[in-house]
Amino acid sequence: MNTLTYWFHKLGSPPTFYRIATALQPWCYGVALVLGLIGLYGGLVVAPKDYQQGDAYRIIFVHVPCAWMGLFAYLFMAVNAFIALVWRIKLNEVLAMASAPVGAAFTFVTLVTGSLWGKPMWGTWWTWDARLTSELFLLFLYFGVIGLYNAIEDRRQAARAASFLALIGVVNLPIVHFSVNWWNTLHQGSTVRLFGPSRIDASMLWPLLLLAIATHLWFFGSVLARARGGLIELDAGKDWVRTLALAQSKPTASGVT
Amino acid sequence: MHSFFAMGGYAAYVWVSYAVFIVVLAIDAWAARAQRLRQLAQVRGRARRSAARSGSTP
Repeated sequence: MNTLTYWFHKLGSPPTFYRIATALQPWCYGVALVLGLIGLYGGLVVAPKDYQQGDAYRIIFVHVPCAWMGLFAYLFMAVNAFIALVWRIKLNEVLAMASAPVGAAFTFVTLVTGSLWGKPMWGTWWTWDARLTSELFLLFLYFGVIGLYNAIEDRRQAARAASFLALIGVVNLPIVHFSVNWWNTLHQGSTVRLFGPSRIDASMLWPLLLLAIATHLWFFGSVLARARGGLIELDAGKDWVRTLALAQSKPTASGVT
Repeated sequence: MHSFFAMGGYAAYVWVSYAVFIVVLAIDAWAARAQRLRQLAQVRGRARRSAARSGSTP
């Protein structure tokens, strides 16, 4: 076994991953919080108001990063679901199921903030256009995955069934992303582009990018937190979990972590 | 300062958006933590019950 496969196996083992996740999680949350606060300050205070939309455009500083995260979380979930189904790796089942609630949270925020922006700008809370409808469908896919996972008693069977549903739902991702190009929608096209210059001023771009990094880190913090819980549930009968659980009961009633 | 909170007349939309963002993500982090603690408590309970059955208290 060479070094790479050795580390791959080591990382995939629940006790090792649990240890690494425990160490990484506060950093993810912490850095996300700091960057997020700077980004919010930049978006609310430093960035100038838009010449057409006034201050209402400031909603995009939370709306757009959350929309990106809704898609990113689904992609992360689908990749792990694929690995879980093909190679039956326990850790990937746990990671796939851990990313569903966070992804649903981000998608929910996207829909609510989009609605709050739509009312003053479009004059309506909601319209059944391609982007909005496919985004709502994305939220329902997350609910479906979470619901299916909780409906089946056996945890590993549940994870595999929900992973399968998650994989089918992948067809919705390009629909969400390209809906503004494929159909004539009310929703505007992409302003920030990975390739080529973005159509947004630098004073508005940096808070947006900072919040994008912050939400990514928050996502990983949340996934690690849920993966820890998932590994405990899955390995409940194993020695490492019992040692962990009993070690934490020692400082009675102090309630540390 | 007043004009900052007024958000050019869009105060309700802007502030509610930011509040939803922060509250939902905070609930998410709290729920993740609560789930892990619940699992740990279950493991502890099971260990205690099996110890009681075998006659020795931990």
